Amino acid sequence: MLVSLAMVGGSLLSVVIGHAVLAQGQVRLSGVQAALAAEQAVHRQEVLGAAKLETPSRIVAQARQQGMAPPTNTHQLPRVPLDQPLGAPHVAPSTTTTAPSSTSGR
Amino acid sequence: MSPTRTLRPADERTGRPGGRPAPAASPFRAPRPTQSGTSPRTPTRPTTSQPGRHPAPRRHLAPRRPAKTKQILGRRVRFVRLALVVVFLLIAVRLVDLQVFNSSQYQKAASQQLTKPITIPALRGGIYDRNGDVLAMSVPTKMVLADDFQITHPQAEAAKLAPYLKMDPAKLAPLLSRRSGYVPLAKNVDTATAAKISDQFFPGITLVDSAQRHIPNGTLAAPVLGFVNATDKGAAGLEHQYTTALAGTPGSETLLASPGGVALPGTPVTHKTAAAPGTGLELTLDEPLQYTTEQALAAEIVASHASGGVAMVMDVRTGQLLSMANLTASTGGKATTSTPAPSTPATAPTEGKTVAIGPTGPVSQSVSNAAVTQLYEPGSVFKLVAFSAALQDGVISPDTTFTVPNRMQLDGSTFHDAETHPTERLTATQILAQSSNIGTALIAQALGESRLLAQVKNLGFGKPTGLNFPGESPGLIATATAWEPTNYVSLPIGQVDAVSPLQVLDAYNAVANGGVFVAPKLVRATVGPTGAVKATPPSATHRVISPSTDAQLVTMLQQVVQTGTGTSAFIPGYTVAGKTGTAQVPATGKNGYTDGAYKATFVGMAPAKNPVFTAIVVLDHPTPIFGGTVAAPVFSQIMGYALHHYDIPTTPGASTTPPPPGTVGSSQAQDVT
Repeated sequence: MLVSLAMVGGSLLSVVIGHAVLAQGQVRLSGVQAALAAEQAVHRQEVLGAAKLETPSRIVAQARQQGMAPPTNTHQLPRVPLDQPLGAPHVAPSTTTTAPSSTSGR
Repeated sequence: MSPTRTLRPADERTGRPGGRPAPAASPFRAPRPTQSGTSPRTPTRPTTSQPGRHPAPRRHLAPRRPAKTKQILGRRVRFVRLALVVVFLLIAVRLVDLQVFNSSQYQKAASQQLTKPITIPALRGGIYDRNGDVLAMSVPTKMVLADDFQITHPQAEAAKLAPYLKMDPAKLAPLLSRRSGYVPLAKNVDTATAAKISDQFFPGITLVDSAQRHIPNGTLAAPVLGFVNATDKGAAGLEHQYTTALAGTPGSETLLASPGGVALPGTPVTHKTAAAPGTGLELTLDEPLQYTTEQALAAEIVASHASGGVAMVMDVRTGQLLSMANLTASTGGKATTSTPAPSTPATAPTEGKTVAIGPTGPVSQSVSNAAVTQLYEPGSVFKLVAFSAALQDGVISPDTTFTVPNRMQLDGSTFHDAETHPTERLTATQILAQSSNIGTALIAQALGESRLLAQVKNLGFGKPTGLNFPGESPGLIATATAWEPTNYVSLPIGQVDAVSPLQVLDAYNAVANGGVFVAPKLVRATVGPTGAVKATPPSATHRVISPSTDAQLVTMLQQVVQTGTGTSAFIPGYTVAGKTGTAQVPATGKNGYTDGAYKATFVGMAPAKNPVFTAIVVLDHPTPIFGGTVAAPVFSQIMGYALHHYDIPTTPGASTTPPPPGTVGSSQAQDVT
């Protein structure tokens, strides 16, 4: 009889403890979920901030502010294979402004 | 009963010292007889006083009620008792009914009055360019609500709450004491601030989930992206077209709330379903190229006093639209009558300048995506139809020679080239390069009505592009039943059919793609809530021109840029093929055309030998009016940037110097239709 009572009491106690642990875990889980949501919101804010910083209009404005300007002329450089030794440089009169484009690429 | 029991106050009725009053004579029971013949409970009072004792003073007793009255009274008492029992029984039964049998029903009814399901908005999916750069995205925010019935000290609460909401306490306090039960205090409060407010446990203040849509690039590609309305639903553009996918699935939570909908303090959430974020879109647009396209177009709109314009760049193989610009002059959109701007060279004078595009700038984004929603008579760029069909059917070859007069009579109408010239012998290539209307009409007549009409449809005109963009128009094209003899001239020069700029670009893209038509595309992939990217199916393709014919056509179009009307489309280091168009604008509400109103177009491809990109530029009401003068330079800027941006190799042997200016000016007038 005593043993039975002890077992019942022990079972009830373990149930109570289990319930308490469960409730504690639930509270902790809710906290973690709230923290996760907050961090995700912060992350999205950061992504948005980065997106605003890298907009072309802002980059152009910053470049102009630092004295950069679009080129008035673009020089196309011939593509050179890297597995072959470079030939001797061809010295030509400096009358042209563009590089020879006999080979494709730049 | 024993007479020795505890004495009680004298009975008023019997005068006995203590004891219970003598029972009334029961109507149902006879008194119990005793030995003396009298009831033991009613001892007889001595009639004479005992010696030595004074007689007890006589009391004034209430008059005895008659037996009948007692009976009635007793009956009433019993009746009341019975009634009380019945009433309490009924109450007990009702209590059991309420608490046991129907408890759930009443609990439900009670909770319905108190609990309130609140929708948790799903975070709308983002829109990204082809490189993953953000074009539009939603950020979670909170809306601050007040139930002023729960606020007992509005002044003090306003003073504490105001710094978080960046409001004046003097203005906030009246809001907290309005007595309406539902007062929105602030919208789109960032989550960090909202957390601080939540930690303060302000009575009567509730934070509700919301979201705010952000466009980090300002107005970039606004007509394509569209916008969302106040309820976060897509109202235009891609936001509208893909609103179901972007919106996600809202969640819900149930909590105890006041009748105004504000949560009661300290009440737990009884039910919560999390919201599923929406699916994002990865577009085919390239943010830097889109910016460059818009800037180049805007600069030309300003320089040529145009009322607006459209420009697009397409990937030849996949049909993906890399940029799609739709701009309108902020001055009201009417053709200017001011002094014409000087002819724009290949390297536009506006290069390097930034045009403010927006409400405060000279140019604004169009209300709609005019590239697909607005139709126009394309002018000479439509000559592609006649030339492609004639080459395909062997009616002409690039070298077929025609005798081209300055004017021709057809069905009582006189047609002439834009620029007066003597009758001359021109090859088919020259007719296209110089954009001769009469020469093109001769080719169309040789081709025949049915073949012309078939080729119009074959190149994608008169039917949806497959983009399914909101408000997209399939175009208005001539049919065999409505055919008129004058259509032999007016149709091939682009004065009959009304098409969209995208349809024109599609047709030229088919030429650039070796004769294979590729449906245009704006959405490259979908982006799941976890970031997983799922590519959309490739665009449908079908051959519309044979490879040999296509090669001939590209060579002919190349001559347009090398020696014809489109020399301003020249790009150093690359070969370019294309076509100019300068079309009159039909008058509204009457036959004929609006005087002085033109649409200038250039559409082309590069590198011509192996095209990678096609592009189109359309300007509304420019001055000067010619496509080769105002649209071709913009094409050159946009295409040049695209070729460099995507590291496309230069064409071996391609010129690095623009054609002489004289060649350009002499042939542009021919382009007018």
